[in-house]
Amino acid sequence: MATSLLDRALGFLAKTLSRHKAWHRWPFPIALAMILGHRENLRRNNLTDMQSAPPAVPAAPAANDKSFRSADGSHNDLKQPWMGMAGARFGRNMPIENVYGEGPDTLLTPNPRLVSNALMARQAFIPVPHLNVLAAGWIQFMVHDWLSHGPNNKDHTPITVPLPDGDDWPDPIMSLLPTDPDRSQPEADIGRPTAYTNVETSWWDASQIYGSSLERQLLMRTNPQSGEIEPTGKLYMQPDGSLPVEVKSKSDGTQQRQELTGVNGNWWIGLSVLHRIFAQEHNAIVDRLRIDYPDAKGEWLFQKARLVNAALLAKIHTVEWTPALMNSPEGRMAMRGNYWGVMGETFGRAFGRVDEGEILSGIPGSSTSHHTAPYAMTEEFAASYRLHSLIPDSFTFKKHNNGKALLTCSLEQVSGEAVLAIHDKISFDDVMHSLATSNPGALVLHNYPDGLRRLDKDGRFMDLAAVDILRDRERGVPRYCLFRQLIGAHVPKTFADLTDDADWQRQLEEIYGTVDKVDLLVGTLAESRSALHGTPVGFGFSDTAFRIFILMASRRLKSDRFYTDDFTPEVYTPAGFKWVADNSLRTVMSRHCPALQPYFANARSMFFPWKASQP
Amino acid sequence: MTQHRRIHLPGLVDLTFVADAASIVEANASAALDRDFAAKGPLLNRLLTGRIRRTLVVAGQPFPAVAPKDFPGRAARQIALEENLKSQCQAFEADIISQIATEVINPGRDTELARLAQHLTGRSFIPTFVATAETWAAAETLEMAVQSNNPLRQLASNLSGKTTKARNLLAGKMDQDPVAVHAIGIAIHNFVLSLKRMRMILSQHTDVDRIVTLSLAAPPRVLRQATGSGKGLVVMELEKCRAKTLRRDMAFMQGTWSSCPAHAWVPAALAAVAREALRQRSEKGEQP
Repeated sequence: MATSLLDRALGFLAKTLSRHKAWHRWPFPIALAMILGHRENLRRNNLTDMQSAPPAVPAAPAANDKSFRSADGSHNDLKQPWMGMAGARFGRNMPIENVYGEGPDTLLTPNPRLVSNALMARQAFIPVPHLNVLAAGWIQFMVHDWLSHGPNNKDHTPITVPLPDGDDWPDPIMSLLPTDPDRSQPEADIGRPTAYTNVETSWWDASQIYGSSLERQLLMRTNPQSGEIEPTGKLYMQPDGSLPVEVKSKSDGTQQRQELTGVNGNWWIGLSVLHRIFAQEHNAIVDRLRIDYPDAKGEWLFQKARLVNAALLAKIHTVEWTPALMNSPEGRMAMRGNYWGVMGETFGRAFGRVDEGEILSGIPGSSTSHHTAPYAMTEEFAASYRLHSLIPDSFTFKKHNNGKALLTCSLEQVSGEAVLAIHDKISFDDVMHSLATSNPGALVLHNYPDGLRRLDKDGRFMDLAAVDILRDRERGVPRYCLFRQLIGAHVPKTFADLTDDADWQRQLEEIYGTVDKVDLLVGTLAESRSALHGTPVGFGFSDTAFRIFILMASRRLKSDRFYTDDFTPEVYTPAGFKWVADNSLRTVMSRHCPALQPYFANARSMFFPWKASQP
Repeated sequence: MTQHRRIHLPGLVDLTFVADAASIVEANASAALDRDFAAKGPLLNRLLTGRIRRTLVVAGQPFPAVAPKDFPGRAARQIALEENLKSQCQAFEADIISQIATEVINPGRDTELARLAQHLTGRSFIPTFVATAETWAAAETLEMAVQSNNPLRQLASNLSGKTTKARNLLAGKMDQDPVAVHAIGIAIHNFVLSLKRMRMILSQHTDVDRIVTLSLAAPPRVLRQATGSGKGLVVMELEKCRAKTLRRDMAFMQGTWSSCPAHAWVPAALAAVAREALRQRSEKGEQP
């Protein structure tokens, strides 16, 4: 499919007008056209395939099984069946010659721990008043669907980060293992930047719920008492509707009890509640399908329900979560337009698609296209989704119906196996309501959670802020200024050009010396206070990250045949297709937490704070 | 498959451009495409194929890089040459490598750099070959005859007999071997471009593998013609693909029937130059 003249014209418009001022400072129609134009330019220039040879692919499924998602993500693209599967490489959003990992001379400069201490440490919690903590949980829930670098490289010497003078770090040294690279193609990769594999499927296929391997998928469906796969096509849930429990071995040899899901790493209460309601949603979809297909086998029902559940998650993310974080007319329109097109939902439901394209009637149901590279999650996308500052350090759980405080916990006390203890003490509805009435942190400097800056990993401490900085450098994610240059955005020439906050300018200069050295994450947090070129008004994240989002959010849909060529009632079943169209996070929540309806009934978005009860 | 660009004006031109790795591999493997370069198809297609047929031929034998897949003896010669060039990878003439490295770290004398590159390349076929200003000028003429987008310049070169003269000069030096004439007359330009790129890259990197991978220049365009009743031409944009992927195998179409026999020789020669250039620079006390 060739680039259309309209696409090219939009690309030209965006490039030309952005020389004068950023897209969000133009009037609405021009701003919207510029967003589309930026996306077009990024599709043309910022998709890089790192796969030097296709990984081994399991045998092709039988013809009638091609209407199901495979467990490992293979055979989504039928011509290049390895595309997006678990074990395929991360792609890049940068030209390949710009993504060599930083060497010893710059990897630790400036010291990541110093950056963490001086620029990221939370001084006082800065909330986002218009969002709730479900928004923070949701994005991690999604990221677990899309990507993971897997375990670190145990064969390599750890990277040691020198501790700045006077640092109160509890261990004598700070060290971490490097990311495990893909070493499967030593000949073909000579002289190229190091590539890493995504151990999850890159597709938007709800693999955080279903896993990225058949083994994990079957585990989710197996009754631990009988050892049998649920014959109904449902996910196994405990009799009280909670998730089953998995016993995991920790690195110190002890065991940890945690809820079982497709992906349950970095577990905390915000993930737990979302996993539970969408596991329940799977089972509700199975019940609905069974009405139309009473004789269908459990396997068929499971696979169809998975398709529907994944599509519903993609829809909620596109038209609910993202517009909540991009809370401006252009942001809302861009994301709703991605799903329903500029003609809108009402028109689409009444008259169907106008054409095969994506602009008028949205991406779902348009024709599949990978644009200029095979589909894969990218390192730059992973870097842009470092949104840890959204997490609060303190959680207060209250009775939803009278506002009475029940428990206040630190982040550590709502993480890992402590989650089960929370569920033992507090009802699910109270947990959900408490999260939905609390605010997440703002993505700004000096707001990184303390709990994540001193994370106890089986007896070894980790500063996740320093790790975030180090990982981007290690994986060759360009620093902020070069990153901006390579995505066609304004490049700050001075610290005053990067942020309007005079204190931040001074602090940044003290640590970095020159603006071109500023790390991507630090730059995106600093631009939150830049009126001219930084975070658009109403946005919860930076303009820099937004550029990658508009590229990749569209791509997650546009490359996936289950959202494009095969997004049809024939593949999803008429009932399943309608389920996706008719449902939203509001209906999901109504179905699984009916007692909470009065609290979110008037919320414009489910990710905005719900009504709280006063004690 | 990703997006393809196609220029199709009936009767005038029918070109399909492929630049991504998967499409290039697919085009290479396709039985519907070959290198016959017959006089068929729209006007511009005929001009392009005619240029190849007329220019890239020695003693009635097409240059190997434009010979059809089943051309008698092509595959056997390709394997033999590949083996021969591989065997030379460990034994480049040190003084030539040193001279090339000196030109790489001292920019300014492009023609001398190119002549030395041609010297090294030619001696891998004829050990007594000596490249001169004339042989390099002949290589430039030959390349212009095939690659130039200026039809007037091409016409003048053909009418004046300059192209034929240049080809004959190189063929004479190479014992009328079309493989060797292709190497020092056509393929040499990618090698020279790689060396010129290396000048810039040496100022930023010190890892030899990385320097070679970043320097390597692939042929910008490689043509295939539709077989049978097909009339279109497929343009495989190898350099675009290489630049986007930094895959050496794509630069040489390694692993396909039309693999370049110099796929080991060129990187090895570039590596030898890079190592020597780094050594000379370090001797001078310079750092990247």
